[in-house]
Amino acid sequence: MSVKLRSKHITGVFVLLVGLFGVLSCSKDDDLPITGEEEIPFAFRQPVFFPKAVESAIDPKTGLPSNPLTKTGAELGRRLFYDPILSANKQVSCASCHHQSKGFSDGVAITTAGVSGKPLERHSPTLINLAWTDKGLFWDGGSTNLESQAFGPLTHADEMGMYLPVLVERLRADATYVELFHKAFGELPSEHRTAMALSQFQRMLISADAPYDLYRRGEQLDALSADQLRGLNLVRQKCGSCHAGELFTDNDFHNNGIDDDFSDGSHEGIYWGRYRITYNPLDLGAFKTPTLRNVMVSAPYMHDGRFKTIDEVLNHYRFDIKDTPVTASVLYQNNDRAGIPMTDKEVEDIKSFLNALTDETFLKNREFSSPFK
Amino acid sequence: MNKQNLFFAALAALMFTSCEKTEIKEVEKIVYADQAGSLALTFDARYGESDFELNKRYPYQLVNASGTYDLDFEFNRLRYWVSNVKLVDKDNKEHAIPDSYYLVEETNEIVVPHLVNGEKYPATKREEVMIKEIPFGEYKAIKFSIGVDQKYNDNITLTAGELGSLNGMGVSDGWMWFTSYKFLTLAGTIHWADGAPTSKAMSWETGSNELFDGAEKTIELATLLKVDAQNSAKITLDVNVKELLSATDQPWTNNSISQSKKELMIAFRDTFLSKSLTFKEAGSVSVEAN
Repeated sequence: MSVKLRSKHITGVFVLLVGLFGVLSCSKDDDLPITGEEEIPFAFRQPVFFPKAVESAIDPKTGLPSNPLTKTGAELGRRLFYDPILSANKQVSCASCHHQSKGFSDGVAITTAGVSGKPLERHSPTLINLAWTDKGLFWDGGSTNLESQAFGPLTHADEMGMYLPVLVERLRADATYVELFHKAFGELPSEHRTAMALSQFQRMLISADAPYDLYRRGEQLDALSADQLRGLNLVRQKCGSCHAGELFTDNDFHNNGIDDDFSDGSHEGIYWGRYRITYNPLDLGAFKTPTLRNVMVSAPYMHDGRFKTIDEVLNHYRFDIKDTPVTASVLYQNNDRAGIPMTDKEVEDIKSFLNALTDETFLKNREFSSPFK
Repeated sequence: MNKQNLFFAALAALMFTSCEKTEIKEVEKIVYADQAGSLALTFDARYGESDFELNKRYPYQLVNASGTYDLDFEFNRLRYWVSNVKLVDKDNKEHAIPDSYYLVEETNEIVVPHLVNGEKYPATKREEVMIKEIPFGEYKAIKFSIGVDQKYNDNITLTAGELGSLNGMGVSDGWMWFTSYKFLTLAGTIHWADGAPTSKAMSWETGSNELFDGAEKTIELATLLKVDAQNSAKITLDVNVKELLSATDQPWTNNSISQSKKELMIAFRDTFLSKSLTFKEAGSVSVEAN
């Protein structure tokens, strides 16, 4: 302010009064049961070289992100993630099918860990760098964002089987949750705040400290061996159109030639892949590209977990890609024939490099672990 | 204004600005209380000339290219989202009602399909929507959409009006595989004595962002409708379910309409908007009489 203040007593008193008035007049609105400390946005980590993370959807009423990260929100989400109270029989939590040590996948092709004990229809995906997932969640992208996605497993008959009004009743009857929701959102527990908190926690699951990252950021130039460096180049060259960039996924949907018959429309089109969402014939059998980060600890592979080992996956891309009208064109690397040519030595180098994407810091981060232990 | 006064004015402005959000909210409320009335919007469901009732068999003569067939329809659910209500005044100015999302429904008790505990969505009948905050004025038409616009449809954690997953067409009692709202549902049983089997479940649904485009209905009112301090307004619309059945001339085959049958979804939506939903009556009611 360019106006020069002279030391006049009356001016000081006036400023004080106006200031006091300003503070008091705001105090009513600020009288929320949230302390200043809790309102501070959680310091979201934006790793160098990563693209900009996706913010939560804009709230049409405020024009601001509808679910900004806060420390209390993410911590509440973490607790909810590990709490079986979220399932109908109180036996199943999100973590039942998403194990941190496996990149938040579960090590089995098709789990039976849900409330019904029945096998699910798809493989539990990893939960890694979801804050960058900008083209939809689920293997077919059927959910637009993390917030809406949460309702899928929560309510599915064979997953957590939860009736949302009952969920809200349970959480409101739990003094700890009443307090935690109050701290995080200034509200009583609700189903939509539950989904928001879970989303906040999942946005914090950032993997960016594998040996590859240390090398990439120049923090440890010998983090990759010669084999791994050759493997890195091969992955960029042969796999990089889908497993792209620093995320090692384009988050998009491709038919990677594992099937050649898409006539089975049963189970609400579960075998159709992305087509069941878009009804675009070119999306038949297309599924989301999983990240290669932590790939060596997140077997088995594919949307149905059909490949038990990374060797089976690489063999598929070398020898077994089905040539169909909907097979992704980038898989025709063999003089325009389906397949990605790789020598045995190249396969070894690629596998060696994939080990350099295993992020022990992520897999063992206490902040991502169960708060109940 | 000398420099000192300028400073005080600027400081006061700064203080005011820092509280701007609160101040404006309060002012808005005061204005609305003094200058806004209410409107009762009723969706009166009927079947032809009869009242619409659940669990009652209605004869329906189907005529299509193959012949004439005598079917019976028995319903257990009629539900839809009414959203983005706008009133058109006598000068053709549109007044959008904020947060106008209402679930209209008539449904039996529903056993929620994906539970182990057997919870139930209670039987519900709701035909009247009470809209508040109608600016005083004279109105010649009302507009609204059937369904939910993309910004809310894509994120069911956002709340506005009656939107929310706990309401019937979110996910609490009917899973949609892309975690968004169902817009319009008609469900029940089709009976056909000559069929094999002789009855079939019927489930017609619409949803998806694409279907929201073209989901707006404009109802012209017969006379100007007055909303002021003395008068609240009432508009009644007919929802003729019999007309809705003409969405397809192959109901026995098309007993299920949903995402995989986009053309039928569009036909179902359009039949609802253009044939089933019609103006019945409107009028102003004295506030005292209320």
